[in-house]
Amino acid sequence: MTRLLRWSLRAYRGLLIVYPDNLRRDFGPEMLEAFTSDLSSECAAHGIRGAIRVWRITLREVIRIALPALLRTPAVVVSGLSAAACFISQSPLLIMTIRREAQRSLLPGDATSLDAVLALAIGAAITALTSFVVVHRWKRTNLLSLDICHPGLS
Amino acid sequence: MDKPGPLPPATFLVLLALTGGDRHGYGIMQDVRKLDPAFELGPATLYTTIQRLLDGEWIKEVSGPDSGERRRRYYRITKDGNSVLQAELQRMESMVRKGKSMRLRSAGAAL
Repeated sequence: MTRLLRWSLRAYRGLLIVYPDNLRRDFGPEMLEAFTSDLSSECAAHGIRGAIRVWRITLREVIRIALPALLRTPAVVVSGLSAAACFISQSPLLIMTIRREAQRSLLPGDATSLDAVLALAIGAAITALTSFVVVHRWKRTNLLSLDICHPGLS
Repeated sequence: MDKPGPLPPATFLVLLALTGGDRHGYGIMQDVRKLDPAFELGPATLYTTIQRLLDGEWIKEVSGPDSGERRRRYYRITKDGNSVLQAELQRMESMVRKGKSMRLRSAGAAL
């Protein structure tokens, strides 16, 4: 098995996480098997162009099937709302800090303003990351319970 | 799947592929590709369709010839599925007939 095939199988296996739970639970191993067979035959017949074709179809499916379903899951909605709440709650503090710095000196306190912007960015990033990790772990636990594996991946 | 209206392309092609006999998922993919090379069917679309068809009892799961093989499930079209497919084929035939007669009529009018 070529490196491209191995990489593709790993990537697809990881990508299954974003599909709806029921689809993954009922058909996860079969989806992986169908993808593997399709990719192998396309690569054998058309080389890299075949692999690109399979990935194009796969990514289109992620956009059309997986993402809309993912955006409807409560965990993702909660994560999005928490990130938005973080941003909204911190923004007034940021604006106040920048205004105070501007009033304090003729030259606005660039360094302090920059610190405040950075603090907000870091806060939002941490919130987004935490949300992502929570969702990812939640999804991954379900995925691992499926015992999805492939000889080429072990 | 209560009302069999015009079928989505994936549903139609999967049912059509299964009229050739029992197939596993990848077998259906290959048949669909032969039936309509322009239609790009990936694993997610295929299994979402299979899931819906199983729920609607238009297809059922059966044990395949190589049932000893792990994780390979075969699917068979049911009587209901066959009726729906026949109805869809008749609908399409009727549309093609109408389309052809309209084209002939418009060509005649141009003359």
